[in-house]
Formats: sequence, structure tokens, C-alpha cells
Amino acid sequence: MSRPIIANEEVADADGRDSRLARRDWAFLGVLAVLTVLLVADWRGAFRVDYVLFSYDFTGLDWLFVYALAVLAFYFVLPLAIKRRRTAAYWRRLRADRWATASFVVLVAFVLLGLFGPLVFHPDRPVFGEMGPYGVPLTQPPVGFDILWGGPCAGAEIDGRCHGTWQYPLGTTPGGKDVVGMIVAGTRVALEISVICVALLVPLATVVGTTAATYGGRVDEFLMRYVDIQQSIPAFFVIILAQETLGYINKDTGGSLLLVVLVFGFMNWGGIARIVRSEALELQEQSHVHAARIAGMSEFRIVRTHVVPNALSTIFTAVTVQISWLLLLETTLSFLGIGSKVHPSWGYVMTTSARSDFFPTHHWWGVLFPAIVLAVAVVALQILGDALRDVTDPRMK
Amino acid sequence: MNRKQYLVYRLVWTVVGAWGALSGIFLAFALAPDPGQYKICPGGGCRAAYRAARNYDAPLHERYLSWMEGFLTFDLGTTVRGEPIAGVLADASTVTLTYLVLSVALAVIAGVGVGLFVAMRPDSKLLRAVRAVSYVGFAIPTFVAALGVFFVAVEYLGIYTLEYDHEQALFTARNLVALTLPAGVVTVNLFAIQLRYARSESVDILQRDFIRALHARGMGTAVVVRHVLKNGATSLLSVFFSELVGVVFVVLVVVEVIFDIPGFGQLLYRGIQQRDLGIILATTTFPILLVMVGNFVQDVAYTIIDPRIESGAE
Repeated sequence: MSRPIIANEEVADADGRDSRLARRDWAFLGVLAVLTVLLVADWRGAFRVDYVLFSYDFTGLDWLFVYALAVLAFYFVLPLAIKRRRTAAYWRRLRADRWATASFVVLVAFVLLGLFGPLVFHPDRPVFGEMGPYGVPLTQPPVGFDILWGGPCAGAEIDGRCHGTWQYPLGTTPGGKDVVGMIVAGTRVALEISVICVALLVPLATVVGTTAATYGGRVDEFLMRYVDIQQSIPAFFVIILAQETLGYINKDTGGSLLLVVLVFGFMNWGGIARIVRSEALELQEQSHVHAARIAGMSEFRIVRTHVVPNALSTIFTAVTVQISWLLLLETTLSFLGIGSKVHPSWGYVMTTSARSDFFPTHHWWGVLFPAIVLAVAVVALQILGDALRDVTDPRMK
Repeated sequence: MNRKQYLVYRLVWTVVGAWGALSGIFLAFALAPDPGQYKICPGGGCRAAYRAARNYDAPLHERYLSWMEGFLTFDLGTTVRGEPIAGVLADASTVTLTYLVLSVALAVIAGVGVGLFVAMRPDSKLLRAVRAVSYVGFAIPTFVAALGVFFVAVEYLGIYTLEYDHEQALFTARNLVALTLPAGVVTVNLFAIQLRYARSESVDILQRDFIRALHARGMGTAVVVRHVLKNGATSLLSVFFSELVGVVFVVLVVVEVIFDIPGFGQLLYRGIQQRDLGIILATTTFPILLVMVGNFVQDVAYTIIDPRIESGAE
């Protein structure tokens, strides 16, 4: 297959639609540059932008979150907003499936809760709860339950049994914090790590997958063999090893959530890259791609306007599975003591409750309710992922 | 490329990958200071001995060579307590393999069987029910499920003999019974995942033309099943390696910690808790190498199952 090399890419730029795409890329790069400058300024202590804007000290995870939001805004929300007819068509097809619609609504609720919930519940406050008298944390069962408890009680105390109160509808954690508030705070953490994971996985997988498909030959062989090796190394072990190495350097035992996300993001793009590659290979042979090539479109532009949009549906499904893995892995790592000890994630709430001396007589609510929330989120992701494969696939009728 | 060349080629890649992984781990740990030297010898009296025992003061390339040699000869050094790691690892692995092999086999066979069964009955209530089960089974964190099972067994059913007795040998009636509960949790967890892939893979294959041709020729269910299995085998095998293996280890650690089984997972957990570098390295590096070898075996199996692969095209 011959691929003409066109020196001046302006030929394709004459097309109005293409130049808008290019403008978007430039805008994204601009935002990225501003972010980098701000990060460096913040890091060197020249200008604490996070304090000025949010009166809150950004961690590495927060910076990555901002980057990830920029990626999603420019390459997910913006295209959906610009191409309204296509979005409406997706929506119509999604509406046909009741369960997919329900999952979509649930996930939108999660995103909104994660974005705006913490403004009400303040997850940035230290992870210590409200103290009762004498500095003993409250132990409050959920509404409708009562426990035998000698300590402070916010609800009605009848015959020495502490009853649940609507002040803490789902009870309190062993630290005396409201479980509802911790679930909301955990939603923010879950949103952060999922969005970061997507913003790492998808660009990497797309670049590698399309490079392998476009150049073929040795490049393809090398990249795919590398993916093979990378996929045969379980991320779980790399996280353990990395946390240990980091612990050696920091000399403390707490794990880093940033590290978990980074390792997960950089270890798990292989499967998606494979999907992108096979989609791209299939597309290389199609007539409209041939036509585009003959018309003088550059390889880069072909990949962007034809290959990536067509691979999106399979990428979506793969990404929903990966996010689910990440959320589940995070709770497991917390339980094993190598998760974050400073982020109020769902895993943190579950672990502190499950490791409490009074579990499971007390504090079962601190495990059960976050687990239900997590399960709902993961099930919704799975259903939507499976449905999206059908909805966004241009080859489906 | 003929089959022999292809396999040699893949073998070379496996060796290169294993070497890369080992070297990477060595470098990460060689460049980071070991806190054990401060923790075990707070006064600093035995630090020199600690460092000498671990060869920390030798030049980097000598340490690298002895590290590689150690892995190749299964000479893994000793734990913080002085037990040989190779022996500890072998004991723990025996316990784990005793129930794991059966669990994985059961989960894979049942997962593929049920997945194929429901895929052949599209739009049925059964398909929906199975989908729901696999979604939910996947979505509940293992440690929550294991805790739930544990407390139901102990608190509500009053079964106390299910706890592993560390005083007794592995192959005694009591301890083998104690393995059933963790084995059950592992099986259900893997079953849910395998079911998901087997179902979607089977649905995919069942839509192809040759299946319709089979139906048109009036072939029975058994023939269709055989064709689907033959066509799906390669991708299901690769799902097994790329997805299940990663999950198996996570599930193992959680289950063994909760049910207090002195197996591989607990050894890894203990290594993390006691910050025993030797144990952590042995329990993470060996599975990584094992999976790489497994991947190679998978490639060999591919060429036997699916003759199309021999041509070199994927």
C-alpha cells in the first residue's frame, strides 16, 4: 500500500471542519502550557495559585485531576456539544435501552456529587470526626437501628441503647465522622482517580495503537511485543513494589494514591492499545480512508478524523472496565494497608470501619453503605459500557 | 515464519521481558535505601552487619550479578527472622495451590459453560439474570464479600471448625475443610469475571455466518457448541491470562488475610506489614515471572489450537 507524503498540510486545512479541530488542539495545548507554568510556579513557591483561587493546597493528585478535566473537556464534552446532531442521535439510541439510561443517570449523579458534594461536606478537613464529650468519638448507628454503647450518643438513648438519628442518617465512622459525608468525599476521590485514569489510558493507548497500525512492520511488532510484556505484569504487584520503594525513600508507611493511579494508568493501557490498533488496521483498508489519503490528508489527520472516532465505541467499553478495576483495586489496597491514608476514599472508610475493634457488632454500616455505593457505581459503569458499545458504534444500524 | 521460528521468537521476547522486569525491580530497590537497617538496629550497632549480610556496600554491578544469580538458583536469602525465603515461599505456595488450582479450574469451566449456555438463548430472562449476577459479582469488593461470608459462617451458622488450625498439617481433614470457604470466595469471584467474557465472546461468535450455516444444515446443539468453543478458545485463553491472572493474586491476598490461611497471599501481606523486603520481592517477582512464562505457554497453546496463528499474522 503506497502512502503519498504530502508536504503542505494546509491542503486539508482548507476544509472548515478540520481547521476547527486544529483550533481545538491548539487551545488544548495552550491550556496545558498554562497548567504547566502554574504547576512549576506553585512547586517553586513563586505563586501559590491554588491558595489564591481555591484557598486549598493542591496535591499532585489535584494537579493531575485538573489536567484530566481539561482533556475530557476538550476531547469529550466539547465534541459532544459542537456536534449536536450526533449527540442527539446517541442519546436517542441510549434512551431505547432502559437500563443504560438508568445507568447513565446514575453516573451523571455520581459525577455531580463528586464535583459539587465536597463543597458541602468538606473532604479537605482532617480525617477526624466530631468529638463527643471527653474527646470520645461518636459511635452512631444508622437511622432505624440501635446499639448497646456506653459512649456519647447523638440520638435518643433508651435503656442504655443508642438509637440512630437523622443527623447521621447512615451512622458514623469509628473516627466519629458522618458516613454520608465520607461517602460524598469518597465520591470526589473516586471521580478524581477515574478521570485521571481515563486521561492517562486513552491518549497513551490511542497514540501507541495508531502508531503501530500506521507504520506497521518492525514498529508494530516492537510495540505489540512490549504491550505483551507489560500486560503480563500485574499492576497490583507493581503498586506494592512502588509503594515499598517510595516508603523507603519517605520512611513512612502510608501509601500514595497518586502512585496507585499513575502505576495503574501506565500499566493498563495495553489492552486498549490493542483494540485501537485492530480498529485502525481495519480502517486503513476502507475506501474513505484511501480517498482521504489520496486527497492529501496527512497520516496524523487521518488518524484523528477517521480512526479515533471509529475506535471510540470499543475504547469506551474497555475504559469502563478499567475504571471499575481501579475503583475496586483502590478499596482492596486500602484494606491491605497500602492504599492512601490521607484521602477519604471509599476504601478508607470501609477499612477503618472493618478494622475497628467493634466490627462487625458495630461499624458494619461503615462497610456496608460505601460498598453498596461502590457496587452501584461499578454496575452502572458496566451496563453503560456494554450499551455504549452498541450506541456509538457507527456500524450498528 | 514457521511454527518453530515463531515459538523461538516468542521465547526470546519472554526472556527479554523477564530480564527487563528483574532488572527494573533491582534498580528501583538498589537506588532506594533499605529502612530495615534503621528499624532493626535502632542504635546503629548492627547496621554494618545488616548491610554486609545484604551485600549493600558492594559495587552496583556486583550486586546486580548476585541478585540475578540468586533468582536463577532460587537462592533468595533469608527473612528478617532468619528463615530461608525459598522454603517459606514453597510452604506457602503449597497451601495456596491446594485450593487455587481447583477453584480456577471450576470457575473457568463453569464460567465458559454458563456463558455459552445463556448466549445460545438470547432475549431470555435467564440471560438477563446471569448478566445481573455477573455484574454484581464483579462489583462487590472481594474483602467485603469475604468478610460477609466469614461472619455469616461464624456468627449465624455457628461453624467454628472452618478456621485454619496452624498447629496441624495442611493435609488434615480439618485444614482441608478450612480451605473450602476461601476457595468458594475465589471461585465465585473468578466465575463472575469469566462469565462476563465468555458470554460476550459467545454472543459474538454465534452471530457469525458459519453458525447460521450450521443451523441451516440442521446441526444439533452439540455441534454448534463445539464450533463456538473452538473459535472462542484463543480469545478466552488470552482473557484468562490478561484479566484473570491479575485478579487472582489480588483476590488471593484478601481471602487469605481474612480467613487466616497461611498461603502465598498471607506471606505477601506479612511481608508488607513487617516491611520484610526479601519476602516482598520474592512474592511479587516470582508471580510476575510465572505469568510471563504462562504467556509463552499460552502462545504455544495458540499455535496448537488455532492453526491460523502459525502464519505469523495475528
